[in-house]
Amino acid sequence: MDLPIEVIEIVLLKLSVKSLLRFKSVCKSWNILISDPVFVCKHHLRQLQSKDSENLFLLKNSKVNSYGFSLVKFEKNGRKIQTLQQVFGPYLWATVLCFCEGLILISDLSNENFALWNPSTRTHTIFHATFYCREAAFGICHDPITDDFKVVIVKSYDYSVYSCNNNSWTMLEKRYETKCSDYRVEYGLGVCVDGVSYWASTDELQIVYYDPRDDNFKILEKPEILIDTKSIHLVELMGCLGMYCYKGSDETSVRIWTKGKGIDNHSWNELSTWRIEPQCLVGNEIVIRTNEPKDDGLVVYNPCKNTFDAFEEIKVFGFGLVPYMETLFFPVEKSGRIITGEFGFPIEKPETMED
Amino acid sequence: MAAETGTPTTLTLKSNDDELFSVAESAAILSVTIRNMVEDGCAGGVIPLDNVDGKTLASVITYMNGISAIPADEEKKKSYRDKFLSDKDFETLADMVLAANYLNMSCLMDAVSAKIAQVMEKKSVGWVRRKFGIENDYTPEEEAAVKEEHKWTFEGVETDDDN
Repeated sequence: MDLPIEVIEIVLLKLSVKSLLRFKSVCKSWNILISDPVFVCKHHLRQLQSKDSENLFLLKNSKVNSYGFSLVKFEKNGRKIQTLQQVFGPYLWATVLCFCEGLILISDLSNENFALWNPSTRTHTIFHATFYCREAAFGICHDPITDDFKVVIVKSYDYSVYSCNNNSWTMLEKRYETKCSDYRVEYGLGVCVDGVSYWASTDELQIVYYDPRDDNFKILEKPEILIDTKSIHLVELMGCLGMYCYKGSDETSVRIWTKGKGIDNHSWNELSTWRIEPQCLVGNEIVIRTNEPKDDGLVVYNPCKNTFDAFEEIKVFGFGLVPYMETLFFPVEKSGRIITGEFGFPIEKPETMED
Repeated sequence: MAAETGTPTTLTLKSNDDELFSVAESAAILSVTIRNMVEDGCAGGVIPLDNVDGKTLASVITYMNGISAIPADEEKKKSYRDKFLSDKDFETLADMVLAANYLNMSCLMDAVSAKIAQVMEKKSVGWVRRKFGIENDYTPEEEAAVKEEHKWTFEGVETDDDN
């Protein structure tokens, strides 16, 4: 059966990363097609838009491989988390710093060695920061124009940007229109939405973001009504930037907003008030971390039915749930510093994690 | 267009092996290729479809009729498409993807290409070469190098036999 190459491309765009990498061996023209940056970009966009990876997460393992991750799937309409396979990250006792569209920034215990890790290709690139970044905040951005992934490390007075395309660091003085005179602002964990990295300041009510389109640090307008709260937190909710804060001094009640889709859309919409701390959304349901019934358990809240369901067999450590998305993006093969394969290990039968 | 007159218009389609098929215009215009012909007024007599054989065209028309009978309900349309494609073998799917491409039917194209991808997901490199009629143009050394680079992707793949 001879299919024209444009039809073959349409079929291949719907394959998993694992199959695509395998089918590079079919013939030279398939290898060229699958390696082509335009194809990689189309596949990436399709993954972003499709629901294929909607319920997939990497979950830091507790016991079996303390430096490994489980790729898990939240079963729709069921209170089950299915373990699909085990994946090793680049470091023992790694810390997940941030993630963006299938890529994960991870560091070892020293916080001096970093790796940008793509769990779907099982490759990563290691880079060393040439500066002290123990107290820094981290983010990954995806510049939609140049298709460049950028790692941003933010400190009080300056920030550094690593461009994956250029394979180089740029150190910049942090100059943005700040509303306070004191530049010493500390940030929480970066949240990547629409290819932009957002941080909430931990000691004042401010959201800043790094815009990869013009390499600038900017302040995001936030809802005006924030008066009686001490801190704000960011989270990704259904592909939008979500913000929540505790209602006054009452630490059991949470107000949630979502920002309109798009980098330049600064409008906020208040969802509602919940008596929970959200982590991410799964379909219409909200995943919450909780100390009940056991420490670091997971609860899923359905706002329509107002029901809570606990996953008792799951323990969440460190960063907890990291959204998983298949992408052929980065590390690109020509950079020459890619470490591949050795951390993958075979699919194991699903098992529940118990104490 | 004839739809305004109130009587359903029927088109006659001709496959490349000279089989004739009657199909309601409202179903046939799922194909942008056919719709353009109708709008340009070229659909008066028989519409020749030179790139589609009779067996495939019959199948495509079954799909056209089936999917256009379903009201605007994406869930139901999806389950119809899944059922329609569930018993098709690879060769039939490949014929259909070519026909959908030629007829410019995006919904069928999407569904069939996704089905082909699903069938390929656990298949070996040898299976793909055989089914797609692709000649291996690597030297043994080159092929070994490409395979070695992505060794883990060969885990859990179906064994390479003739099925």
